[in-house]
Amino acid sequence: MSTDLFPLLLKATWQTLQMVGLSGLVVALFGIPLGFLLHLTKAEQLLAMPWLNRILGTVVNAGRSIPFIILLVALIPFTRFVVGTSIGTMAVVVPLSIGAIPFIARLVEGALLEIPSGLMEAAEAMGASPWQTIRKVLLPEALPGIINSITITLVTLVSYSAMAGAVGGGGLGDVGIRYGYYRFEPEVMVATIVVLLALVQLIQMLGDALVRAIDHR
Amino acid sequence: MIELKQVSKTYTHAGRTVAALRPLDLQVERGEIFGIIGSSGAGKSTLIRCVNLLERPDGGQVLVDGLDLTTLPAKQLRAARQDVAMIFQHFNLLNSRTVFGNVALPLELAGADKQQIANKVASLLELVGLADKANSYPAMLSGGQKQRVAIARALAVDPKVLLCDEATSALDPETTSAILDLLKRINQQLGLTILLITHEMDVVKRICDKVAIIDDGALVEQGPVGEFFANAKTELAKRFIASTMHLEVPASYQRRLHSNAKASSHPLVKLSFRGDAVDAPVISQVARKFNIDLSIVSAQMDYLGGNKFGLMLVELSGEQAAIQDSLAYFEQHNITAEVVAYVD
Repeated sequence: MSTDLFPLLLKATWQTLQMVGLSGLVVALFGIPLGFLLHLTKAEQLLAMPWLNRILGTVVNAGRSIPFIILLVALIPFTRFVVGTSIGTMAVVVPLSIGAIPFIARLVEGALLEIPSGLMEAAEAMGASPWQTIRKVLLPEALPGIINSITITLVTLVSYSAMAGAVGGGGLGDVGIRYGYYRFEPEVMVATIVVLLALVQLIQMLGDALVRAIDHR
Repeated sequence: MIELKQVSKTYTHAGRTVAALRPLDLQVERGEIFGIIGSSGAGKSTLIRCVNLLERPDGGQVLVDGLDLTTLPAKQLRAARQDVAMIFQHFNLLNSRTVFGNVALPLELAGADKQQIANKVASLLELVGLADKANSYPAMLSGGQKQRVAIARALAVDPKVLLCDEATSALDPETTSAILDLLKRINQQLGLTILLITHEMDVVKRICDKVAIIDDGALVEQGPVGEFFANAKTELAKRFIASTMHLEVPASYQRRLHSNAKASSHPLVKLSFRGDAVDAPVISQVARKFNIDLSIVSAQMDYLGGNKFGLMLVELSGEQAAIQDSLAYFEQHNITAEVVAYVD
C-alpha cells in the first residue's frame, strides 16, 4: 500500500465535518426563516403577502434547479468576493450554503404545512399576535418536522461536500476520487465510503433520537 | 352580551358567489346558553366564527358586551378576543405542550407571571376534573379529556363569552353528556354566557336556554327552548324536534291503523304536552270525567329549558261525543290533541 491511510482519512474527515458543520449552520440560520416566510406569506396565512410569496417561490425554485456541481463553479466570483478566495475548505462553504438554503426552505415549508389550520385558528381566537402565534404555536408544533428537515439537509450537505474537490475544497469525496480513482487505490475508495456511510448514519441517528425526544404527537 | 346586527357574509368560490349569511340579527343575553342548530352548510359555522371575527362579516356589527368588534384595530381586537373564548370540534390542542402548558398558553399570551399561571391552571384543571393529568400530553388523552383541557384553556383568561363550535360532535354519546354537563355547570357557577352551534337537537334540549334554527344563512325561527319545542312553526324546526322524539309504533299495531274512521274504530290521538300542563293529572281526569278508556301506545317525556315536554300516542275508546269532549279538554289544558289515525 502506497498511502498512509489513517492520517489521510482523518484530515479529510475533519475537512468534511468543517464544511458540513459550517454550511449547516449558515443554512439553518437563513434557510429555516426562509421556509417560514415561504409558508406564512401565502394567501390566507398569517403574514399573507402573495406577491412576496411568488418572488420567494421563484427564487427558491431557481436555486433548486441548478445542479450543485454547476453552482460550485458558477459561484466562484461571488465566493471570492465573500471569503477572499475561491479555493479551499472555507470557500466551499459559500456554494454549499447557497445550494442547500432553498432545499431546507422547502422542507421546512412542508413541515409547517403539516400543522393543522385549526391550531392557528385557536391561537387567533385566543388573541395571539402573529409573532406570538409563530413563537408559541407554529414553531414548537413544527419542531419535530423542522429537526427532521435539518437532518435531511445535513445528509445532503455531506453528499454535496464530496464534490468540493472540484474547487480544491478537500474532504472525503476529494480523497476518494484522487486516491481511489485517479491513483487506483481501491482500498482508499472503500475506506472513504465506509467513513461517509458512518457519518451519514450518525447524523440520521442523532436526528431521529432528537425528534423522538421532543415529539409528543 | 352578544349582539349581531345585520351581519352578512358571502363567499366567492370559483367565480360563483354564495351567501353564507344573509343579513341577520341575533341577541344573546348575559348568562344564558344559546344554541344555534342547523344542517351542515346552513351557515352556522360561519355565524359563530363571525362572533370573534375569525371570519370578518361583509357587513353589519358584532357587539360583545357593547363593544363593536368590527371597528377595532388589530391590537384592540386581540385584547377583545380574550373576552371571547372558543372551543372546537377537534379540540385544537398543542401536541407539543402538556395539559398544563396548553391551559397556560392564553395566560402566557396575556403576559401573566409564572406564579399566577401555576395557580390559575391548577384551579382550572380542578374545575374540569383533570388535576391528575397536568403533566400528560394531549396524545395520551381520550377525546372527552381533550375537550376538558380545551374548556379549561378557554376559561383561563376569564372570558365573558364561550363559543362552542360543534364541541361535542366528535365525541361518543356518553362523553357528550359529560361535556354538556360540564358546560352547564360552568355556565351556572361562573355565569358565563355560552353560544353554541350544533347539528344535534339533543345538545340543545339538554343544556340550552334559547335556540335558533339557521337555514340557508338565515335564522328562520328562535325562542326559549321549551316554547320552541312546543310551538315550532317551521317545517325545519319540526323536523329537528322530531329527530329527538322517538315515538315508535309497533309494527303489529301499525297494521291495524286506518286513515278513515269506521263504525267500530277508535281514534289514535297524538298528545303534545308543554308547559305546566304535564304536571296536572289530565289523563286520569279525562278518563273519569268523560268515562272513556285511554290506552297508551307510545310516549316520551322530557325536561327542556325548565319545562317538561312530551309526546304521547293514545288510543281512545268510548262514546263519540265523550271523545270529542275529551279532545277539547286536552286543548283547554295546553295539550295539543291531534287524531292521527283510527284503530280497528
